[in-house]
Amino acid sequence: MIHLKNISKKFVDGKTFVTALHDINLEIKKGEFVAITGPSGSGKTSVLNLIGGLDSPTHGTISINEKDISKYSDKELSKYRNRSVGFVFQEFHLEQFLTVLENVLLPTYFNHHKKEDAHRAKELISEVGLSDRATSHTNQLSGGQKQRTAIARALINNPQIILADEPTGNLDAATGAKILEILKTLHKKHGITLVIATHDEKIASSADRIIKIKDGKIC
Amino acid sequence: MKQKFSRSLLTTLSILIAVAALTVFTGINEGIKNTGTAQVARQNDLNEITVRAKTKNPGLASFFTEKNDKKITQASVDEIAKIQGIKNIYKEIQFNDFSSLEIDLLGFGMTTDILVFGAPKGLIEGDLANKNVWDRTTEPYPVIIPRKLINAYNVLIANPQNLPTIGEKDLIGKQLSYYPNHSTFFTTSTAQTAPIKLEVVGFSDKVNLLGITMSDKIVEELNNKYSDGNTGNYLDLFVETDSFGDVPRVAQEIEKLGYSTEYYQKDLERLSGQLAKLSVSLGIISFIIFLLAGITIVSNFLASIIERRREIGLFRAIGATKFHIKKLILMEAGMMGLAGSLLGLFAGMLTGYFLNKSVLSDFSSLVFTPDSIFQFTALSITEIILFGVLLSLAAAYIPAAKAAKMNPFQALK
Repeated sequence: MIHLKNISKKFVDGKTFVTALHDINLEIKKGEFVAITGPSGSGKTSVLNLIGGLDSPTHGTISINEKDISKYSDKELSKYRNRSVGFVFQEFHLEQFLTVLENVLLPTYFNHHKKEDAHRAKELISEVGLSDRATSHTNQLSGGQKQRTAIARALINNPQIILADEPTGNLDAATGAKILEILKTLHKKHGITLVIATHDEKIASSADRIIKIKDGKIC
Repeated sequence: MKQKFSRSLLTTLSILIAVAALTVFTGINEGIKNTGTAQVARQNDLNEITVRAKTKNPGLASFFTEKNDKKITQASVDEIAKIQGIKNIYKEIQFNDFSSLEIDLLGFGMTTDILVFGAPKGLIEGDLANKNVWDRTTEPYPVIIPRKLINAYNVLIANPQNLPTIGEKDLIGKQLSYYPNHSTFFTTSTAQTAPIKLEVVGFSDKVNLLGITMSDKIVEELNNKYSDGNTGNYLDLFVETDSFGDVPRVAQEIEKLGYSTEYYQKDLERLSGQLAKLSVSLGIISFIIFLLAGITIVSNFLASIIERRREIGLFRAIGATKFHIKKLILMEAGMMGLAGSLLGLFAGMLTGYFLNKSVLSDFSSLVFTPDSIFQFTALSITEIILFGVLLSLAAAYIPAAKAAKMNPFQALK
């Protein structure tokens, strides 16, 4: 399903030329739960960004369902991000002036928002255990509740892939464990391909497969 | 959140100030234009040409000092009458000697030297409440007062000396004592004789503004009785054309005969020239204010986009295209533009209302007081709102394009 072939990513940081990824080859099957581990700056987030179409490779091809997304136009890439991928970030990235329900519904506004979307959003909010906070503004939520909201938002357009970048990084151990449990349950229930970037060995051990990255190379 | 609100408020405020200034300038421009046009129309019947002897120098002084190159006589009337498209020619004459006028008004008795003009009924009947009164040949003789003379008295004499101002209501029906051949200034004039009684029967913007106007027949009699008789010269001719459209052509032909002319279109053209200067000046000020507002809006939006970098990154991550981002920011700018424009229009109109009230109260001593010097049309209001919205959209365009080009991964960092 996800196929990274000879991927290199280079960028300029100030006056320094940095190579984030060196000739990476990677294949992830449909419905697989994969953990990408490695120390900070190893290239985990770069891999997720490339799979999610947030960034483009310097060399190589990224195929999703046999289609090379690196050749997509902005419109096609945006559609791919909207319908095929759901992102879960370490910093949650929620809109503070919106309620939980409105945050979850946000991606639907870039995909012909329909009345039924609200019904699905409520179902997802219930699945992540936030039914009683649906109308609360996100600045009134705890860290764990914020991440649950972000997970529900990632699922609203029925994506095939969930990309989670250090989803428990800003949470305490107990809350982090609960979030991981929710992600695993949703992955199984919805048959979604789940890719988590983490440096936490405990989280990585619950994945179907662990991919280790160091200095931009797969070990 | 607080920062975002402050930026939106600052942007809306910039638009509000620019639109309020534009509203005031547009209102004044429109008001002065309409007031001026109305005054020009008052002074000139639409299909009438005032014909005067050509003088070397224009202006009031020429009335007393210049020797006319070509006097207006019956021969002038005859040659002008040959021009096609003329319906009537009215002749204005003048009493040829000194004269003075005594009036009791508002508890004061006043005596002043005065020029007396004679006009036929056809010329001034539009200014009379009762047209037949002009045919009266017994005392008190009917007399018309030029409105500008009342204005001049109020502005130049009454106001500076704290004397009561006078209006048309104070004068209509008033009896005046007229002394032909007697001057209050020139000792060479004859002594005061028994007064001739006059009665104010109307006011006009058309009659000669330098004195009072009586029936031409009465002035002829006065000339015969108190002066050297009628000279055969006319002061002005009022040429009435068959239609409004004939006026410029007829006037041109009269000028070819060696006379000077005044008519509605010519006055309006002169006024338009003066108003164009005013419009350009106000336009330049508006442009500078709009430019400053535009710069404020651009810098505000640029700063706002930097502050909202992560929000834009998130929107891109969850499926917003570059077009969506541009549209969102321009919609926001449009909303702020509309809110700022509506508030600015309200603020401008409120300023205009008080400005108008203050200016009109200063003009209250004038007989000719416009209803408002601050006027609007539905079109000008629409244009003002449109200007405000367009200013906001134009100023937000570059920041919007910049936001749309943001790399989502970089923006989310």
